[in-house]
Amino acid sequence: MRPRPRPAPRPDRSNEDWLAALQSEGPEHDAALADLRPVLVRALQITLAPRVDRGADALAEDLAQQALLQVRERVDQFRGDARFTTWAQKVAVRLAFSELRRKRWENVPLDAVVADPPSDPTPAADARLEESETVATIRRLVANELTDRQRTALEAVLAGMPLQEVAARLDTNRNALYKLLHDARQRLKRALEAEGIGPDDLIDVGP
Amino acid sequence: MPLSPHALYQTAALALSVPPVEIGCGDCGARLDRFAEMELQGLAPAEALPLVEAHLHECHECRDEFEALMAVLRTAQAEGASGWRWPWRRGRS
Repeated sequence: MRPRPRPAPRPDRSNEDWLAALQSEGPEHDAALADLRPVLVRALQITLAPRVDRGADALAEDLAQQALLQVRERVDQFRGDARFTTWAQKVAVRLAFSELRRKRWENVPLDAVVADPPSDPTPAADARLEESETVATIRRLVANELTDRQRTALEAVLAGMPLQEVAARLDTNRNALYKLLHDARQRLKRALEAEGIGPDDLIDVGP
Repeated sequence: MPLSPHALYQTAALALSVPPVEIGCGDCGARLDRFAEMELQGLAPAEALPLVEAHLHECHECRDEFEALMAVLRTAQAEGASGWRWPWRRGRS
C-alpha cells in the first residue's frame, strides 16, 4: 500500500482549520503539529534567550515537545478571540517561565525562605522602627488576623519566591494561591484600617 | 524568625494596596493572548480588559509572561516583514 502523502505545510491556517486539524486523527493532525512546532520553538527561543546564560536554543528544543503536548491537551481551552498561534505561543511562553522558575528554586525549601524575611537595607532603620507603635500594631495584626497558611504564603512572596513555587510547596496551584493572598490582604487591610493605619503611616518603608 | 519592621511595613503596604476586585492568574492567563494582540494592534486593551490590566499591574509573574509574549509577537511580526521564512521554506525562492 502506498503511504498517503503528507499535506503541504500550512502555518497560516485559520483558527478553525487549526482546531479541526488538531482535533482530528491522521495526517492532518500530524501536519498541524509539524507546522506548529517551529512556531513554538521560536517563541521558546525568544523567551529563554535573555533569561539564561547559555543554551537557550537547546533548551527551547527540549521544551518544544512539552509545549506541543500542552497545546494538544488544552486545545479546548482556546477561546477563539485571538489567533490560534498567539494562544499557542502564550502556552509556550508560560511553560518557559515555569521551567525557569522551577530550576531557579528547586533546591530552596519554603521554610528557609520564610525564616529569612527581608530586612531594611539600613539596619539602623529597622532598629529604630522596632520601637514604633505602628510596627507593634502591624506585628500583632499579622499574627492574629491571618491564618498560618496565609502568613506563610505572604512571607514567601515578600521574600521573592514565585507564586508558582510557593503554590507547589503548599500543595495548591498559582491561581488558588493568588486568591488566598487576595483574601489575606483584604482581611489585613480591614484590620489595619480599623486600627487607624493607612498608607501615610508607612512613609518610612523605603524601596 | 519574627518579621523585621521592614518586612512588616511591606506586608502592610501590600495589604493596603489590595484592589477591591481582582482576577487571578488563571483568568488573566486565559485572556492574555487577546490582550497582547490588542496591544500589538494599538487597540487600548487596558480599556477593553481592565481586570487583566489591573492583574498585570499587581502580579509581576503574569507581567513577565505578558512582556515575553509581546516580544515573541513583535519578533514574529518583524521577521515576517523582513522575509523570515518558516524552516521548511528556507532556501526556496
